[in-house]
Formats: sequence, structure tokens, C-alpha cells
Amino acid sequence: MGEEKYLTGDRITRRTALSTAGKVAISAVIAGVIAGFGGYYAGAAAAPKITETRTVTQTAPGVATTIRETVTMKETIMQTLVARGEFAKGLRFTFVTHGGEENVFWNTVHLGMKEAADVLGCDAVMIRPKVEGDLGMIMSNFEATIAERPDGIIATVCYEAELEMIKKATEAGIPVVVSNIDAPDPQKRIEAGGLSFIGQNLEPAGYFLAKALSKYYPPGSHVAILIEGPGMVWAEQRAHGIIRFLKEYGCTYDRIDVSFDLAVVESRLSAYLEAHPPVKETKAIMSVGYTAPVAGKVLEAMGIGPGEVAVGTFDIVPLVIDGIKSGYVQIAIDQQPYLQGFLPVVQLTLMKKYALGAWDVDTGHAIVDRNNVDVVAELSKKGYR
Amino acid sequence: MGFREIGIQFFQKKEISVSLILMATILTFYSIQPKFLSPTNIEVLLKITPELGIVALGVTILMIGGELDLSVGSVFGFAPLIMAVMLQSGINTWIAFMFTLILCLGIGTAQGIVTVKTGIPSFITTLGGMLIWRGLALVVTGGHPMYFTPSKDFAMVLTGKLYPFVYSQLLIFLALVVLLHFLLERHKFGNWVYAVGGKRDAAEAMGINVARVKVILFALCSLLAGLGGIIQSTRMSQAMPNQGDGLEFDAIAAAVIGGTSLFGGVGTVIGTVLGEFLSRIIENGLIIIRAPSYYFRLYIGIVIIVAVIGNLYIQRRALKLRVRE
Amino acid sequence: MSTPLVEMVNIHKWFGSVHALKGVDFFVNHGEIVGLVGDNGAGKSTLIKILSGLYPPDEGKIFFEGKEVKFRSPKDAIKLGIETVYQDQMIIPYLNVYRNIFLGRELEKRLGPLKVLDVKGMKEKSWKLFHELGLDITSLDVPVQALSGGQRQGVVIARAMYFKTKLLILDEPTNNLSIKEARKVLDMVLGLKKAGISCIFITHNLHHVYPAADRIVILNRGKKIADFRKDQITIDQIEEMIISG
Repeated sequence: MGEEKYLTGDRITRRTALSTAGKVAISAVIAGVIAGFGGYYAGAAAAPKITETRTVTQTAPGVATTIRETVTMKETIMQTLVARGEFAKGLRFTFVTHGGEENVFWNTVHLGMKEAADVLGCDAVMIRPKVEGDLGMIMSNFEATIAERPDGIIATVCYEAELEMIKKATEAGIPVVVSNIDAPDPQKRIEAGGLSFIGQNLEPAGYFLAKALSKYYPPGSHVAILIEGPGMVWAEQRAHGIIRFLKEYGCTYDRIDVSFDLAVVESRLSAYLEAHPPVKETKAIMSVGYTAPVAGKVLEAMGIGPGEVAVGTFDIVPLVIDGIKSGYVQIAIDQQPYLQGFLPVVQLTLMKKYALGAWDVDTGHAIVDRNNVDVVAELSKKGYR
Repeated sequence: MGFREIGIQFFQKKEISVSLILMATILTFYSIQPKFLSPTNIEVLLKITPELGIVALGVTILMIGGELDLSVGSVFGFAPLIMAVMLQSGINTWIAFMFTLILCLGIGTAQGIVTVKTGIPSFITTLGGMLIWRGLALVVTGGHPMYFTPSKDFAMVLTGKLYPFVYSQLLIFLALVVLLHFLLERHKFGNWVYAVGGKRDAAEAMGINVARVKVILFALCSLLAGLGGIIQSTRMSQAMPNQGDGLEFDAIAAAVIGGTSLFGGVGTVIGTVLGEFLSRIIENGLIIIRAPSYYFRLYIGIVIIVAVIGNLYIQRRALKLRVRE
Repeated sequence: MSTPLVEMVNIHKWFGSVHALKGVDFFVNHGEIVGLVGDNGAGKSTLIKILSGLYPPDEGKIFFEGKEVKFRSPKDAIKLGIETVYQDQMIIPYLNVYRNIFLGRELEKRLGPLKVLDVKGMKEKSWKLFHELGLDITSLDVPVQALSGGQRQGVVIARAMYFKTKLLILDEPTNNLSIKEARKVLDMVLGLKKAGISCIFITHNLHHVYPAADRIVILNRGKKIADFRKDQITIDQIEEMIISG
């Protein structure tokens, strides 16, 4: 060891110190570069380079003055662009959602968004928080998205605090459309700059379910309503709609507060039906979430056959599909998450290209019943419904 | 000391590993998308990092002392809820704030005493704490978010924007960094913390009251977790029952990336600050370069491993310098 | 000077169901060096750990300078002037030399209204100490993990030597040391006697302790089997007693 050169002080050899530093530096750089390039390739899959920007007088309310325009393009070029899937070339949109990374519903929305982007030839990404509904994460995602200056933002208004972000985006010249969940007061959303709402209007959807199901139960019936999220806006609004129809239809009803825990639903519904016997008293069961099919199990255990009690529910999950196929569930209302991803991209593209305005879409009136359940089941397996 | 010696001393510092990774990451993101270092984006980073960084600081000092606290995420959510309840009953903001902070100290002290007196590993006690405080939060709120409406001057002091780039919470964070750094490095209590975490028996044999040191650290950790939660709720004007869910792992990751050892006795406050910034920068950078958000976990995982290997390597090299007789 | 400095009477200690010390009586006079010897498992370490305040005795009493004492923690023993060098080195691997030496008794200085560690003072005192004791150390800033076994032992001895006031307990202090270093330790111990400080010296190596000791106490399986002044017994006799039990 005596031959190595020593430095004063701490007796470190020059060589060991430099080699240590070198090795750490190299591994650090490699890590950083892998991180960077991986992310880049992940995100840059189909994003073409941005072309020029020209200023055009705005026509869409709330949209800032700088809009991409393509007025110099001739028709044939336009047709070629569409054929080559480059209709929306160069546009970048970001979808900031509250849905967690494990939430399967949002996979369908994401699929809609991706396919719209593929068809139109633009770039769209969805940013999901690690923890579903974590406002802190949603807000930081939103902030970062605004800083990135996309051409358009799609947002869900899970919390009113997000309206502040929508306002910030609009003021920065980024158009925003709202999907899946609207602000409790749509006027506030419009004031903040959310140009349209694409999703299920909850209260009318409840009304619609009760009405569509009424084919199967007579006026003046007694109805049980399962509430999977007591106190939550989406549950209460759908329930409100259901109750509105039932009152018109002259029915009596009971609310049963449950959760998405199917065991809880089963036990509480059984208890209820013991007290209010099906067919004799309870003629219909509806849920604001997707747990009504559990009624099928309960009714079967009580010796009641399919169709004797009308059952209606929301959303398409395997449980619901099985319920329809078995005949216990008559109707399911699908809020069509695919559209909630597809249509916003279309709207933003048209806004950017032709300065068209956005428009509200109620995606929540699709009925799934015996007639189309097989088709829907197939599509559901692939993630489209 | 000549430049060479200064250079050697610099490379020996424990925080070198995370600093290099941090610089490499910033450069990589910037080269792909210059907007990453735009003033807007830098401001965003400086705005959102402090509230989480404060929690990581508390976790760090406790980890140096040889214990873990898995309940910080739950306390982060629970504290603002308690304060929100008080605010809605009309109690003065500052009083509610003080009371909540004292409550957090109490939570930490309780967890500390249970751990120390019974000998149950802190992993277990704070795991229980994590569930208890989160459970209480859900019971108190019934699962609904609560409005969090402190007085305007409180909001200004805690989260106000003072100058471009400079938010109050950033200053609070930096003040805490300076304070804790001083405590650990230049005060005898800091020596005791490193001793208790490094080799508990030896510290005890030298007459240090190990139980007291640990309980103080637990109390501080919960205090800072609650403070972080209150800052976030002030910014969001809401206190939510699921706030801070999963935060304990983020905080521990930041500490570990920054050079703190899970086994105690090793770690620095500066390292954790760098580790926390690195986490937030990766999160933010991936959005800026438009990568799908799924990639965050993947990259943070890689970074943790690389950083820890780097830290260990430096530590071993530092040991190998044989002291000549 | 007739009252012993330290007297332990009828000390019993159980670890679980193991009866480690079975009614041991042990005393040390002022200015006396006692060699505490015995084979492995005799209970020597346990006995002195009780004296340093690490464990409480399950039965029995301890008297210090004639007064009964109950140690609630090592701090109480340290306050009375009892310093210990333990067999399992009670040293923090990641901390540097002076932070270990002054652990728990850090030197402080004022920085305005605050009390800060007096690093310069601690380093100066440490250097002086090492020179006085003739121990070799080249850097105080390295973590003690980086030192050799012998140097680490030097640190713990230096620490005890610095702070000792009345009684110094050494549990196998020469184990990791070279012959030269071991001799230095023995010289130190003799120097203690001159200064009127008592010492308990535990070791396997009878040849190390015999020259320096005034008395030899032999423990075997938790019991004291012999307590002789040096002139009453030879090394061979001691060995015999240890082996035969």
C-alpha cells in the first residue's frame, strides 16, 4: 500500500476517490438517462413535430386568441391528411382525471381517448393519480399539465377546487372540456372556462332508469332502491332522479344504504326482503351503482324466479352482464365511458382546427338488456363497454 | 486546504449519490422538453414540494434514531380534519391550529411511548396508528370531504405567495431544514439521535436516556406530518379523509434515496430534501414529457435502488480508507 | 479507608430460568486493583454490568462509599464516578472518534443564545488524551468503523480514562490489542492506583492481570469460589482453581 500516492489529511488515495466519484457519477447519469429516455419513448410514440401557429379571431367562448389554423390547405391535401390519419396532426391533449391507476372503468375511458387520438392523428395522454381521488395529487398533476402547455385539456370535476385549475388553464390560453363528472352547479363550471360536459347527467339518468324499467312493474308498486354511496353526489343525484319518476308513477319506495361491498348488499337486501316480501310487496329493485344484480342471488334463494321482480341497475360490469343473461336483471344503464374518452378529443380537435364550439353530450342513456347483452358482453371483455 | 482536498471531501459527502442522480434527471428532462425548466414549472415544483418534504423531514430524523413511522400519511389526513371540525364550530383559526399541532405531538408521543415501553417494533405500532387515525378520519367525516376555511391571514402566513417563486410553505420548509440540520449536526441531542439509532446498547451504556430520545423523535415526526397536512388543506381549501393515503412510502423513499438507512444511525436532512425533490421532479417531468403516468412508480423504484447502491458504495469506500498508524 | 469503595452483597441475577449469579459477595477497596477471573460463563460480565447500572440485581444490595445505592440506569453509576469498558464495545460504528468519546457528555459552547457542540474543544481534548496514553490514532474524523480493532479498543479505553473518577471497570480490555498496546494498558492501570483510583480488571489472561492486581477474585458458574490477596496465591494455583471449579 505504500507505493500509492497519499494525500494530506485523510489519507485517501487520489485513485480511490476519483474512481468512487466516477463510478457513482456514471451510474447516476445512466439512471437519469434511462429514466429520461424511457419516458420519452413512452410518450413520444406517435407525436409528430409541431407545426406553425397563426392567430385567428376567436369564435368559441372562453378560448384564448391563439388557435392553430389550416386555412391554406387545399381540399385534396385535407383528404390525404384524413386518409393518412393526420387530420389533427401536431395537436397534443392531456386528460387529467381523478380515477386511480387500478380503476378498470377508466381503462375504457382511456381506450376511447386513445382510439380517437389514433383516428385523428393527434397525441393524447391521460394522467391518473396514484391514489384514486387524492386531491393533492390531482392538483399537482393539473399544475404540471398546465405548465406543459398542451393544446387542450380534458378534466373531471371531482372536487370544486379543480375549477380553480380549469380557470388557470383557460387564462393561460388552453381550452378545457369536462368529462365524466361535472361540477355540481354547471354554471360555475362554465364560468371557470369548462366549455362543455361530456358524461352522464346523473339526475336525468336516474329518472331514465326508473322509467325504462317501468315496463316491468305496475304503477303504485313498492320499490327498493339500493344506495351504494350514501351522501355522495353521484349516488344522491341518481337516486333523486329515480325517486322523481317513482313519485310521478305513483309508487312507494324505500332507500337501503349499502356500499359496493357485495356481501353487505346481500345481507341488507335479504333482511329487507324478509320484511317486505318480493312480488307481494316489493315489485322492483333498483340500484344507483352496479350492485342490483345481487338481488338475483337473494331472490333465487327465496324461491323467486327471474322476471317476477323487476331489477334495474347502472354501469356494465361482469356481475351485471351475468345478471341480465340469467334473466333476473331486466335493464342496465351504461354511462358509456368510451364516449367520455372519445368525444372530448374530437371536440378539442375541431375547436383547434376550425374554431368550432364545444357541445354538451349526455352519454348516459344507453340501455343494455336481453336484446343486446351478448354483443355488449363481448365488447366488455375487450374493454370497450 | 488545496482544491484537490476540497474535491475529495466533497465526494465523500453522503449526499453525493442523490445529488448526481438529481442533476442527471434534471438535465435529461430538460433536454427532452425545455418547458421542464420554464419559470411556470419551476414555480409549480417549489409550490408543491414543501408540504410533502416537511413530512419526509420528520420521518428522516426518526429513521436516524432507529425507528419507523408508517402512520404519517394518516396523521397528514387526520390533522386537517380535526382542524376543519374546529373551524366549522367557529373556533379562531390560530387556536385551532395550535390545538391540532399539540394533538399531533400527543399522537406521536403516544405511539412513541407504546413502542418504547412494550418493545413492540415501531413498524407494528405505527402500522396500527396508520389504521386508527385513518379510521377515525373516516368516522368523523363519514367519508365526505370537509371544507377547510381558515382565516385569511393564516392562509397567507402558511401558503401565501410572497414573491415570484417564493411561497410561504417553501420558507417554512427551508426554515425547518435549517433547524433540523442544526439540531442533528451541531447539537448534542443530534449526537444522541445518531447514537441511539446507530447502536442502542452503546448509547444506553453511556447514560443516554434512549426512551426519551425516541419518544421525542416520534412526537416530532407526527407533528411535522400534521403540519404538512394542514398546509396542503390550506392550499386546497379542503380536508379529505383519504388525504395523504400512501404518503408514508413516499416519505420513506425520499429519505432512503437521500442516504438515510432503514436500520438507523445514518442519514442527513439535506439528503432527504434532495430525495424529495427528486421524487417530485420525476413525477412532474414525466408529465411534462407526456409520458403516461404509470411510469412514475417504475422510475422511482429504479432510482431508489440506484441511489441506495450509490450510497452504500460511498459508505464502504469511506470505511476502506485505512487509517495509518 | 476501612470501608470498601464498593461493596456488592448477596447478588442474585436470573436471565429467564438461568441463574447467572448465585449470591455473590464482592468488594473493592479504595486505590485497589482487583482481578476478576474465571472461565467462560462464570458470570463476571454480568456482575460488572450490574455494577455499571445496565442491569438491576434481582436480589442483593450494592453499597458505594458506605451508602446503599440503587442504579436505575448507567447514568446513575456514571454520576458516582464509575466508568466501564465493556467487552462488547459500546461504541457507535458510524460516529467519529470524538463523538464517541464524548457520547452523552458532549462538550458545548455558546453561540449566542444557543448551545452548540464544541467540536474544537472535543478534538483538542481527544488528541491530548491519546498522546498521554500513548495510543495511536491519526484522524479523529473517521467513523470508528474504519479503525482497526486495536484502535477501537484504544478509543473506549481513552474514553473511560478521561472520565473516570473513582472506579474503572475493564472487561477484557487487552483482547484485541498487540503486545505493546496491552503493556500500555497495564501501565495505565498501575498509574491509576497511584492516583488513588480503583480498578476491576476482568480477563482470561492471568499473566496480564497478575502483575498489576492487588487482589484476585475467582468466579465459577455464578458463585465466588476464591478471594485472595496477590501474595496469598500464585498464578498456577489460580488456574487450578478455575479448572477444577
